Amino acid sequence: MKTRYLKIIAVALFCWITLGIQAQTASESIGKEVTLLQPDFSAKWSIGIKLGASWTTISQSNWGRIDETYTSLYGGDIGVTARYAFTDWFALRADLSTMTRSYRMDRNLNYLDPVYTNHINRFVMLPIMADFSFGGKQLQGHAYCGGYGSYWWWESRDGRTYWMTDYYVYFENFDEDRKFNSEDQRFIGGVVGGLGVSYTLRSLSKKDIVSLDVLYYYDLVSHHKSYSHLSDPRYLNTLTVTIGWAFSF
Amino acid sequence: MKRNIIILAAIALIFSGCRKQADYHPYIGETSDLAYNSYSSQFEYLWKCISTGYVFWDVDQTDWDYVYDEYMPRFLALDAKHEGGQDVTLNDLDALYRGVFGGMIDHHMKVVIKNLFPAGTDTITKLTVRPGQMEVEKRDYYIEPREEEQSHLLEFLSGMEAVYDIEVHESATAPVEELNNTVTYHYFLIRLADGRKIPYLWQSMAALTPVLRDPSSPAYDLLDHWMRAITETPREQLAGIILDNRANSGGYQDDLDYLIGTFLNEKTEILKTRYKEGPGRFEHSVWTPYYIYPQSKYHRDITAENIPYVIICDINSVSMGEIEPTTIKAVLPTSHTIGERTYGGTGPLQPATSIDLNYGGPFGDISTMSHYIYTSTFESSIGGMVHEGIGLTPDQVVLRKDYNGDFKPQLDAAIEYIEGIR
Repeated sequence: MKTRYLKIIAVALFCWITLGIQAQTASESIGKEVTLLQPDFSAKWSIGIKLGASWTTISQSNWGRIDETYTSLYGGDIGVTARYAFTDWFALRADLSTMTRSYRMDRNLNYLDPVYTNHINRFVMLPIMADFSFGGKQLQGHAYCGGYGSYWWWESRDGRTYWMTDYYVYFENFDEDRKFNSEDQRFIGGVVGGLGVSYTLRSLSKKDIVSLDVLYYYDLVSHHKSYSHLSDPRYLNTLTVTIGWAFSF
Repeated sequence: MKRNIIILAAIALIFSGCRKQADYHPYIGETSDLAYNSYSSQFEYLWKCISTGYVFWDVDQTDWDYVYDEYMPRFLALDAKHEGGQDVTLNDLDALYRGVFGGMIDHHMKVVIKNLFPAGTDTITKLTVRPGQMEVEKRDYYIEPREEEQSHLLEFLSGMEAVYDIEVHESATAPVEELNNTVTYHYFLIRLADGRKIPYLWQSMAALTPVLRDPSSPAYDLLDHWMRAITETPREQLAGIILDNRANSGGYQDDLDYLIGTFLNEKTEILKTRYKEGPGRFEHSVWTPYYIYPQSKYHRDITAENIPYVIICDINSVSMGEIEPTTIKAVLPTSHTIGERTYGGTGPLQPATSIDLNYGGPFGDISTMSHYIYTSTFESSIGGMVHEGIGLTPDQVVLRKDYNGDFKPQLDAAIEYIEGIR
């Protein structure tokens, strides 16, 4: 745990130093002295919404496992965005969204291969990212990097299971919410990064911005707790593609 | 900008190494003793297998991590003893494994461990721990182990004709390969003072199914006669039914097709099961209904006819021996249970050869390896309750210990109950 916090602090320092280098470079190019992170123009807020799709895979150990295979499932990502531009090339962005991070398990043992489970997980996500933008005044590209905290809100699972007698195997469909237990780590976090493109609409008041973002969420906190003598961490990896609309002021 | 992208990529690479790695999880189908070569590594292997495969972690109070902390130093001490040239006796090992497993709630569990380095003074090299039996022997109404009770019960049954008015008595034994056992059956048609009859059945294990599917079985006629007495005797002559499950060590789940299905008019859920679908201790499948369908060969609506169905059970009724009365009681309104709180082994099992069925169940092979652990493959819930380690408390408690171990009072209570229903 301490090591993880130290690494988060190290990243923050990296970003701080990076921004400082950029600020220094910008100040040299315009011949003015600036201190770290103080903007040389009127900062701008933009508030918006985003809506899109997600694809999730699960990373876990295969040690001791039987015959299951895990594949990704589609989900959704819907939420609000807030962006504060310090300069014309650097902003800080925070989102608050509900995201579906789902995956599927299939059994492969010959007479049990009809058995599968779709794990549909809903998370409340709070990514906070540095937004490095480039390009023109209307059409801009963005590179994002940052971290996120999230809350595992609920899980439902549907699929097909089996029950047995001495002679027969029967299959039964199911669809129900899963009750969380003491093995579930509900507050998790990780790093996020990606690319985006935005366009400021000319036809309206120049304050409407539409965007398309591709972000990759990489868990660093396992959603499955370990025991003191047996660790079995599991991590989700989610790619999202969202379209957004924001109002800038 | 290019420099920023490089820095971002470097950060991503740093964080890709931030995820924790999993500890080694043994595969419980491991067929080689190379999995361990010392007392401590054997304990660690078995501890991890139970951590990942035990199906009862949601109801078992054992602190399994505390067990590791408490016992690993002691197994390391055994290794040091062996490496120091001293004998590690079976008693040394037995004391430790009784402590490790003795509190587990799985009442089917049987742990067989072979001494890796047998002491010269030991004449036997394998120990057996049965946590369920350890708990049952502490109950204040415990008298004797099942094997002894069965032989005493058979003596009682052989003297039934001298004590009761018996119209028909048939007995048979049949080898049942899947149970690796020979099963004994007794059918009595008891006649009451008013002329009405009670078909009574006792079997040493739950093994109706393999017999009734095989007309060439030596016990086929006996069981067929009992089923026909139940389903074909006119109502005014049939007082009730007695199924005696005392000292019944369990067997076929499909017996419920006869013991319940015979009396159903429609598909009925009798219990739910679930299994371990992952290595997490609480990583279970959903609870899945277990259905019984109406029997096609034998049928009678005993509910509509108000025919009492009495099941006698006792402390040595285990597995299907106690699941039968528990499920009959749950779904058939005219049922009535008499006797003692049962053993508490209600988790269905599949053989150790079904190693890949799910994460639970028996594993190991004492003939080729140094361990065999018999533990439940599924967890069952009857009437919304997991009865593991608890058993069924009958409707009417009649304890053998209150009658110097006599079997007659429990049977008398069953007959008296039936006589009171018209």
